[in-house]
Amino acid sequence: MNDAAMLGAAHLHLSRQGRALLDDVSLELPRRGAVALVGPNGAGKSTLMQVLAGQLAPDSGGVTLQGRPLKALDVRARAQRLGYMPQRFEPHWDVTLLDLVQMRLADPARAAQVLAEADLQALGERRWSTLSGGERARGMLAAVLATDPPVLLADEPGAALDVQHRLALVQALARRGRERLVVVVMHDLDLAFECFDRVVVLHAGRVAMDGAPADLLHAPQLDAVFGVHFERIAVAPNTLLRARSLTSKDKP
Amino acid sequence: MTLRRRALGGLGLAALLPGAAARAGAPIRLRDALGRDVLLPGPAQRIVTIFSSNTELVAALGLMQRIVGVEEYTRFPPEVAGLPKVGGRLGFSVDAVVAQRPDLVIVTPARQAANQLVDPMERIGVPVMVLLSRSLDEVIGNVRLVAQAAGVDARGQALVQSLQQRLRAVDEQVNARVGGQPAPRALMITGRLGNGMLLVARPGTYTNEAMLRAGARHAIPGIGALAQVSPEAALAADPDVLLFAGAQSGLDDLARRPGWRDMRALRAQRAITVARAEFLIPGPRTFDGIETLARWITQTQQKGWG
Amino acid sequence: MNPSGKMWCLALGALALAVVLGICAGHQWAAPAEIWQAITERDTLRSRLLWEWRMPRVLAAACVGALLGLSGAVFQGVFRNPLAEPYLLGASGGAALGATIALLVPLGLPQSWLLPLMAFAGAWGATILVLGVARVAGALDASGMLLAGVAMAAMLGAIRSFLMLALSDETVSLQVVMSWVLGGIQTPTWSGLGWLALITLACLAATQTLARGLDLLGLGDATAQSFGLDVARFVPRAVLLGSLVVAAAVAYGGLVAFVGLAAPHIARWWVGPRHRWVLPASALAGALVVTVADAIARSVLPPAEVPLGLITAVAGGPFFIVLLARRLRAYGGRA
Repeated sequence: MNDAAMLGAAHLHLSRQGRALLDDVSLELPRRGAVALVGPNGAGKSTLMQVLAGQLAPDSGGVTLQGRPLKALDVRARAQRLGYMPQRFEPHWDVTLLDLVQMRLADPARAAQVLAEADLQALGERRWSTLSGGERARGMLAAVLATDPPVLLADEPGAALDVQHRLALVQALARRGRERLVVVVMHDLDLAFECFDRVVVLHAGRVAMDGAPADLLHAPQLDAVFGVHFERIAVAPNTLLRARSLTSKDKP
Repeated sequence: MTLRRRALGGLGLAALLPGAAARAGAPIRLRDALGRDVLLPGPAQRIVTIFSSNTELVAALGLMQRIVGVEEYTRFPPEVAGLPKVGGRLGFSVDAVVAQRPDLVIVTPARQAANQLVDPMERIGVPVMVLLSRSLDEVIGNVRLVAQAAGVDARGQALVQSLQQRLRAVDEQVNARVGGQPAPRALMITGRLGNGMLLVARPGTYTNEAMLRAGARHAIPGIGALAQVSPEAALAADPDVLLFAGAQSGLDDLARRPGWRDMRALRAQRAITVARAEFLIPGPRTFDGIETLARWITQTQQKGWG
Repeated sequence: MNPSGKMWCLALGALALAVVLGICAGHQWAAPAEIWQAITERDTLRSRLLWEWRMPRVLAAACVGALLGLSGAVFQGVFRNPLAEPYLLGASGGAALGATIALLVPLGLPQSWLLPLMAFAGAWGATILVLGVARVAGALDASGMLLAGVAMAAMLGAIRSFLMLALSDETVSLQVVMSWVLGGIQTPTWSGLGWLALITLACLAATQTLARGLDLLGLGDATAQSFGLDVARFVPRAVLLGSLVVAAAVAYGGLVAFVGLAAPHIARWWVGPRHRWVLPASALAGALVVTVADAIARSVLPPAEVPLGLITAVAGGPFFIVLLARRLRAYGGRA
């Protein structure tokens, strides 16, 4: 019961202009866990996230949330149960952090409380344009989590952040994975393998590898998927990956 | 000039008629051209006239001194120059009309005048009379209406009779056509649009009727309600007589158009200008115009259509 | 920064002052005492002028301004563009065509209600057409609607130009249509004003329901959707409501320029970007601007009345330039 599927994808197919973005993708994600979604560019990571979030409809196949098909839920129900942090977030009007959280919640009065819980109440009245990148990321995360959704989908949330803020953000996401389901698209492989307890590797629209980091780390298939020769460097208790050279097919 | 002489002539007659003096204080009820009921508490003493035609009507009845407001386009009679203006190119001002404290506003539905003035005047309680001039009979009827509104019924009646008499004289002249010739086919150009199209007198207007009464017939019998005629259509109609409401320079300009020199009327020098003031302002001066045109047509007919 | 009750009272007070100024303004300025006299007794021509003519006119100007400001805020929220204004989706083209038909085609019906009716039908009809075209083309999103709107405006303009050319003659000049197109308040009767006031209040209430959705739209379609807004259903609904509001404004006031563009900016500068406040503030700003502009229009060039739209356009030009210069500043949204 505890590990029954929270979010499931069954045989997702999605093509655009003749190109298959998702090719028979199936996934079962439990009620708890921090899952990293990795893969080279064009593998379909963002597309998969959008389908899981209900923002994009697959050509065939379906997504289930808590056992029910996602399609059957209306937008508001989905919003309550799914949190989605997009890759790029730029509000058009210069809202305050408090405004942002209020817009997320059905009961705006709770907004101040949410910010306080996230230790952000000092930033509440500041306008978006005056916040730094790190503050924005934290603020957006707090807003998205304001309804305490059972599932959080984050698409490269640390992309524009410096090393400190990226680390802090990813660690926060991974921590959440102890209580709820968190799926994060990651480009930083080291961070992905270190912080998350499950890694799903996408390649050309398919699930190439899926398992615990320790199992995947040494698999030679990893090199093939990313098109580079990895050097595995043991730095106890972790193993780091360093890309040494391109694989033969890409060599000049 | 002619207007004043005729008006004074009419007045002279009227003064001899019994009961010529207006009965002050008795309310006057009229029906205007739109079928509206116009109720005046007494003969109008302060009149605002919108558009030259209405100004001339009032002036023709010798009531120039009762006009308290006109608009920018009115030029005749010359006395209007000093009168307050209540509107013009950019529209008509309710404020300015009311400032003259009129007890009657006479208006014609051209430009925005009727839209802008009828409703407000009604609401504020100033009697407003709308006049149309779709035919010569209606023009004559307007004289009667204005005279009634001003309480000078007898004067108005006299002027009406004088105008009708003049019209009858022209009819006789036309009927006694030289050698039983048919009426010449005429085209009266009343304006030019920017894209080259011409505005012509067309059936259902007093301008056209004036032309017909002067002894001509329309060169384009099938012409419909649309006012615009292309120069090619005018050329194809090839009227016997070409009339241009405007200055000679305008007529010369038209004559220079390609192909127009070959028009029958231009070759035989039967193209003349007529006064805009007479044919495009419906009023007593229109009858001057009819007489002048009738005379010219008869003379030209006598000379023969070579 | 939520505006306090005191700020609203101040703003409403400013509007009341503008209304009084408007009633006094004209070719013959009236003293405030005359206004009181006109309300209590109406025995002189002057009092009747003030009561029957100026007062309904000024109050109608305030209502039309409020409607324009309101629809401007809705459109800027839906299109997420500070340069959006309520005439975008064909409302102006349709209204102008309707008005042209009412003014030039001899239909034999009284123009006092035919003109507003045709203007309203034109504005509303054109917007429905634009939405229909966008839907058929499968592009019922912001940019699809804009494109359809541009195409519609061109078509309607062409039809209108043709009508104007074909139907003009010596007595019915194009000026009649021009002066409507340039914008001007059609003075209603007191009962007509009552309806206009009711419509204005109803629009204020109805647009408030859009406030949350407009806020969410400002976060981007994806985030709005993930925060619980059904974007595909909300956008057409908001556009329809905004168009209804602008059609009502145009029916009573002709095509008044710039107010729909400027009022929301003034509102956002005053109360911040949340639509719950921006919508009513924009209505208030619009009412103020139009009331003052109408007063100027009626007093500046006796004996003529300058078309209201000219005044707002002349004032709007510099405003527009300032807006472009401040494009990247806060409160105005991003470029």
